[in-house]
Amino acid sequence: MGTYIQRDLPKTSLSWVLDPNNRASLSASTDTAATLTSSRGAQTGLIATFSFVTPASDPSLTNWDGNFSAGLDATEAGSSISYGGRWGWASSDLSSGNGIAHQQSEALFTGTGLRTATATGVSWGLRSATDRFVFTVSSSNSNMMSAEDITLRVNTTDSYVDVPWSVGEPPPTDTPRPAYIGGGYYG
Amino acid sequence: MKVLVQWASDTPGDYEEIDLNAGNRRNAWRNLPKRPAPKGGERLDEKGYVFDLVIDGIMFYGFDHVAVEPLGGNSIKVYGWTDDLEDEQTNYRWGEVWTIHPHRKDSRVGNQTNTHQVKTVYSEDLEDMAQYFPQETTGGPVQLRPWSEFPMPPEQLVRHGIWVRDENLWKRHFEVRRPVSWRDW
Repeated sequence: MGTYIQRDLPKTSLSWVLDPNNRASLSASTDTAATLTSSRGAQTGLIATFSFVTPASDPSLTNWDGNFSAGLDATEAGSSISYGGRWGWASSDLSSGNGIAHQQSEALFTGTGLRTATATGVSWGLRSATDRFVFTVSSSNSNMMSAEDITLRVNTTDSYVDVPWSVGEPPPTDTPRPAYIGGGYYG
Repeated sequence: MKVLVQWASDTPGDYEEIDLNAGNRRNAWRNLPKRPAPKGGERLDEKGYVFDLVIDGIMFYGFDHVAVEPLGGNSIKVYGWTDDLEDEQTNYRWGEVWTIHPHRKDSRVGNQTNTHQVKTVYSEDLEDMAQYFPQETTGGPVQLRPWSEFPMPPEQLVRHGIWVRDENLWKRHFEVRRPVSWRDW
């Protein structure tokens, strides 16, 4: 079990989110709180609004099956906006993928505050070890008169994505050689 | 609980803040400037038309009418509805009623302080509105009810919105106001 943080940087070239500012990343670490904002047109259906993706070859696993959850922190939202979390994947070079493959089991959220999205027993089939993991927030706007905005706070522990694998373990390195103390031959 | 009001204006300004539950300020909303429902050609040189209304980070934007009603215990009820069917974008009457309570500890998010909001949507076309459901607030599932059940607030509490058709002026309303968060409440 590991945890990613939804981060505003670095931006990515994910294609399924319209606004490049909201094509962002997943990281093992937090940073200074920041916000991402999207405007949804009047009476629009559910579409990918924010997507967060891991670096290339993260998680470097072929079996992603298990339970997923995510924390959402909507600081501002139009009263007619509804939104929810989805989990997906992207190819290593971001040229293909599906960022909305699995959706949260909860009803869509509306209003502001801290929310928890979950998906249990998710089966992905066999993934490529070079694939990237994706968390997407989709939203819709039921107001037929006006566009409405939604703003997410990211970079903090309130904006997390829990996954069924370890996250952020440093790559294997050579064990440091102990400093030599004393005289004699050192080979 | 505080209410942020941004007036539609030809010289837009930041939100004005009023507190409906502080001492004798329960009438602060009903005492705000009010102008009659727009018929076209109105000038925006005085206050009275609401551009946006923000409470607990929720933006009540784009409605024909809004109203705010103080409740007990620092809670408030907010109404937003659209009933001008002559408007080219409105096909049926619909509205939302939110009850916004003070923040509380929430066991669903690790016992952190969280919002406590309740929402009901009313629509003349239930089938069309149903495509946006189910939804849930931090206070539970959102109810979808027929428009005939919309609890019309007292006229003294009603303020009207207005189209800001000049695109540059419309944009300036967003540019001059500060970002807010539910944590500001």
